[in-house]
Amino acid sequence: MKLIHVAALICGALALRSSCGAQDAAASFQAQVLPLLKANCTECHGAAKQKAKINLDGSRTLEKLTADRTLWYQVLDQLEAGTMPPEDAEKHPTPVERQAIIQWIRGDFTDLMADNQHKKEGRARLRRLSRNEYANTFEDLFGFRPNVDNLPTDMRVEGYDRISAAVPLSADGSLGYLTNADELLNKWVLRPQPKPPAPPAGAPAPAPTGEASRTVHAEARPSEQSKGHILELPDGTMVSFNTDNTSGPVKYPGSKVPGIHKVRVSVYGYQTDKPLPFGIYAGNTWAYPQSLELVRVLEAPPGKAAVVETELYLNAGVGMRLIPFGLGVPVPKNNQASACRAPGLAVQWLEDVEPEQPLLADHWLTADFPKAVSDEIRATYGNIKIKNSKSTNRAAFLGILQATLKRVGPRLFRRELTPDEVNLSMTEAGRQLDAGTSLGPVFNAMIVDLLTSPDFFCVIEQPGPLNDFALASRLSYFLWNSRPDEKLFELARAGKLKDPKVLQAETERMLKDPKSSRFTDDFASQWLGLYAINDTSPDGNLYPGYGDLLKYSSVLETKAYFRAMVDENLGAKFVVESPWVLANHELSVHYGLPEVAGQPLQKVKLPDGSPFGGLWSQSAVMKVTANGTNTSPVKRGVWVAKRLLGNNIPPPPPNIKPLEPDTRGAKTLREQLALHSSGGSCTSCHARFDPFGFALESFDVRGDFRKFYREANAEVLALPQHERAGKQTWKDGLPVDCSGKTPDGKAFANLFELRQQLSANPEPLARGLVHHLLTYATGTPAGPLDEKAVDEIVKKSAADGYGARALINALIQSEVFRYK
Amino acid sequence: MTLPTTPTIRPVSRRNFIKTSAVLFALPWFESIARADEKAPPRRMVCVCTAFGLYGPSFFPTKAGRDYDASEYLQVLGDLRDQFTVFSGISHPEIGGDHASEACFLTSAKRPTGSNFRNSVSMDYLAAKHVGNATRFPLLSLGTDDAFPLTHTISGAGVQGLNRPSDIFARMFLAGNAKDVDNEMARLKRGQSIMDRMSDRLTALKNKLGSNDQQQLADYTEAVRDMEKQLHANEEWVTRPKPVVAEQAPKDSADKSDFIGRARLMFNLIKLALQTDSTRVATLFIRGMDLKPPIPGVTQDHHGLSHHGRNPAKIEELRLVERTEMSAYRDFLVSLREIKEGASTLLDQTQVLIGSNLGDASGHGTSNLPILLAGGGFKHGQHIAGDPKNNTPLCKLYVSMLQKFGLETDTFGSGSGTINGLA
Repeated sequence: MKLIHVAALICGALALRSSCGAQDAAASFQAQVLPLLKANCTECHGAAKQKAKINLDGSRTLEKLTADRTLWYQVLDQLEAGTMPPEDAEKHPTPVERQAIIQWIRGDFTDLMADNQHKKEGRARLRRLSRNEYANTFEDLFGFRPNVDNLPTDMRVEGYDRISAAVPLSADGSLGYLTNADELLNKWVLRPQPKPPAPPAGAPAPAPTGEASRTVHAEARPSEQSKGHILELPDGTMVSFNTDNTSGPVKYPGSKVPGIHKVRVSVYGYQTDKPLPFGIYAGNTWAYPQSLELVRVLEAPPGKAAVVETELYLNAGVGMRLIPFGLGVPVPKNNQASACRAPGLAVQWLEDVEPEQPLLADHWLTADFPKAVSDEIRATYGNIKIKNSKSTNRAAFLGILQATLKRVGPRLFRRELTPDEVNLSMTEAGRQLDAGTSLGPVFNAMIVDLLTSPDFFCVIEQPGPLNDFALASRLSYFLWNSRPDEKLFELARAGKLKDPKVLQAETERMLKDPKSSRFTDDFASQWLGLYAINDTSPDGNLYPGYGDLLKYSSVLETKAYFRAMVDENLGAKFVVESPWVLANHELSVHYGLPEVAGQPLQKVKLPDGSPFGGLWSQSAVMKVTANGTNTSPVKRGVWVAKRLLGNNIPPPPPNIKPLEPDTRGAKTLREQLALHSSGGSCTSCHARFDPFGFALESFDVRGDFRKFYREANAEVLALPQHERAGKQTWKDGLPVDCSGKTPDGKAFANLFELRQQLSANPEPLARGLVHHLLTYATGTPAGPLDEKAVDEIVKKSAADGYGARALINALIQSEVFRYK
Repeated sequence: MTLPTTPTIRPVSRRNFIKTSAVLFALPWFESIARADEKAPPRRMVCVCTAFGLYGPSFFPTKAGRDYDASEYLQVLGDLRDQFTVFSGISHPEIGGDHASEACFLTSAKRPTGSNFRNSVSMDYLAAKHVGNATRFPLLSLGTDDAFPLTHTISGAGVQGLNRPSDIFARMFLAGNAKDVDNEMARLKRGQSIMDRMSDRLTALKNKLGSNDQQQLADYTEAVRDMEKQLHANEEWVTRPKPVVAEQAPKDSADKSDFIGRARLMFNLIKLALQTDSTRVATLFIRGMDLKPPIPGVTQDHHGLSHHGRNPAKIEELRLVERTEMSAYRDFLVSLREIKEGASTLLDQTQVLIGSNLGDASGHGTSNLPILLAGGGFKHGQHIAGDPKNNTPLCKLYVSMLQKFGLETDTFGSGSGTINGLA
């Protein structure tokens, strides 16, 4: 493998480094590198002829070297890819000379750059919280998820939404923070209702417990759109036969209170003797844009009604629809459902046990108000001026505000407030009181001001080692995707968090907390690209039967699998190999295993010789690395190289005609590829990733194992729709060739052999995982300057077989994590 | 910049509305505001991007120059031939990145999937900044769904496109009652004071940071100041009556798959917005992701069809979809041409860029983009052919467009200088 190669080099470079420090980068350049460049490169990239505007000639000062950072990593890319000098060049460096240049860039030069970075800027850049991080933070503070549609848009850099460049600040979007803060205060805080008992000082109150406040019972009834294709039984039960979420059947209009809802439905499978899976889709069920998201899959028992119960987070105004899976559309619009003899989902009623109103925000924000003051403000809807108040006066009210500010402010800014900040807020509040502003608005303005400050919605770090508060935030946004809790905050306050033992204990505590599923789900989604699961639809003729249920289950599977890697400290080799899979009924069918009953995922042992097992061949992963019709060994190959091995693959040179997949069956993409990249620099670079893609050609666009490519069955497709029933709309085409040669020259005949090679030496997989964890954890893409840090983290967990949990722990202990 | 974020205003009855609004504003820009001899009608710009390319062999003419042969798609545009120029061999250099290139269509920022990617300002945003507060909406950025935005601010932040026609219509043409106006005023004032406070905080913060972070904050501070001014200007707009149009508020299309129908609704809103001088810059992102559009003869989704893999049956359907799309473009351009502004037409005053971030979408190619430019007072009627192997930077066209729009600039994004052959 190439990576081992690199690792060996770095060890070499380390030895080199001890004898000559970063200061000597200019000297070592002059002595070891420049002569080689002069001999091999400067004819085209010299002072006279500057091809691609690159001049490699001349001695360089440290400053000049530093300024040319990008240039030297470009040179590194080209050398490692073997793309420069071009094949037809007159002179080529010997392998030893080539390595000497590579070694200098990875060694002295990288040391110099890393040193500079440490001293001046740090790796990380100031960044806004992603929408997801902001919503989690808000939820953990106030008890419900805010609207994020009005916030600045999140983009993706390297697939991650938490990189500074992916979350640029935008003044337009900042007004969204204002809207959300206003909504919070106007709707939920200091409203005219009895205030519940005060929570413990300082901390946000625990989530509301106890019995729910309201149960909404909704009898099943058809919607306007669904009349005619829903069957109404004599007892009022509604039966829907269609798996169709645009005109969907039974629905529930909308919850009033955001939070965890207990949802009960009385349902059964109609005209069937098997359990019928159905989905709860949540979203806007009434108006345009009708956006429904599958949030839970349940099963209706056959024949006899039963109450099925689940818990769901629903925002205010969010409705639900119940839609059966896998039934097709046997009752198109305007047809009579009564004639349908196919299975259907019978729904009697739906009950939504709403949570308590989200008093968490109210509890927490008003904890410093004496009861009399709180009562008076509530009773007057906040519209009382200080001169008319019977419960407080100017000085006392400012005292309440100051106590609130000192308690709440640090938790919103995730650090202590400066005396200036406190003074500024208090001066402003005093000014407003004197101007005759009512008490409610004065209080609201102070909180709104905090919630619309960059200190709240950005991650702000100072160069050098992170202080305790910044470290607490980095840790909590990594493992919880949210703010530090009280324990972390107190440790930071006490200056204890930097202690490696404390840090480790906290890491473990946080990973055991249910909030850590935000990390495992979100990281798996961004690392492997699961967020794109809906971007393509497998061609209905080539891959009939691929449906929402498999899609949904497959995403759960991959997230749960990563969770298992963390929980069970499974080694990096589990990325490509595992003796078991996590499967529910749908997935067990997909993997060709004995059928598992029901929806929850369970560990199922794979038979010997199964092509499945490991992250890389899971259905969701295979789907997001393909388009709906065909797979590309290039795309999947690059995906393995970048996402699983953490290699840097430079983009193709400009003006390359994209490879156009040809599914007419004359040539496989692989054969086209051979023509496309034959010769010269294309071949040497493609050799770094295509082979991985060749092996993964064993899986089609939904992750089914295959030996032949599928092509459309023209004869059947020529028939009118109604004559196609029961006939196969696809046929086997060309055979799949999944042999190849890894970048370090080991041949493999098929997927199994490549898998064997990768799992026998899992270090490169561990490096890949660390590369991506580091990117995610620090909100900064891991780059060439981080190679050494990645190496150390990987090495530390070697004894654990590079277990995922060990890697996470080693990462958190590392300097690269603890510095900006 | 961008839309003053008017809250959703409750529609009022038409009778009430007419009572409170000046009839003056019922007329299109030209007749209402300016006398013919007083000043020229304003320049407008519309940028349209369709997400999955346009099938090359059906889009590009083979012959360059004025006597090019209209391709299958260009034939759909019919007698508009002299009102547009078609381009080939043109693209942004070093983009790549598959569908992520959407974000770069109007910005030209390189390598959207690279680790050093940071987006830059989009052309429409600069044009809108140039217009400033002369119109109620500096910019209308619209989309047929909630895709990633085309419009990007100076700091490279995406501006989410609006996608509910009824809401956009209400913002432009439906007056709120007195209480709505008061609330909106109060909100603008609050916005201003928040922005003001934010500037203070940013200044305080700046000194603690490294220089990269300082730069980012400096850009943001500037944007915050701009926003403050914008909110201030909006106060004036809130008190001014909105224009009256004869048309009823559009009904939102509930059918997600009908992205061309949705685009038609948006085109009509853009026409109304330009006609009433509610805005001078509009952008529309057309994307029909994963659902089969309701077009007779089409059995698959547009995205799937765009990955045709040279399968003739798929290409056949793809062409059906795209011819339907082309007819929506035609109808939009014709609707602009039918509106007279003094001696010219609204189309003459409006540059309309229509194109895609993908060239050969089947392989996610980002070179050889399908691009056409209509209206705006250019001398049209030709095919400007670039080298398919060594493309002309698309930003040269953008520089030409920005100059025509009145900006004094020789560069934009990855382009410097104007495009040859377009006058």
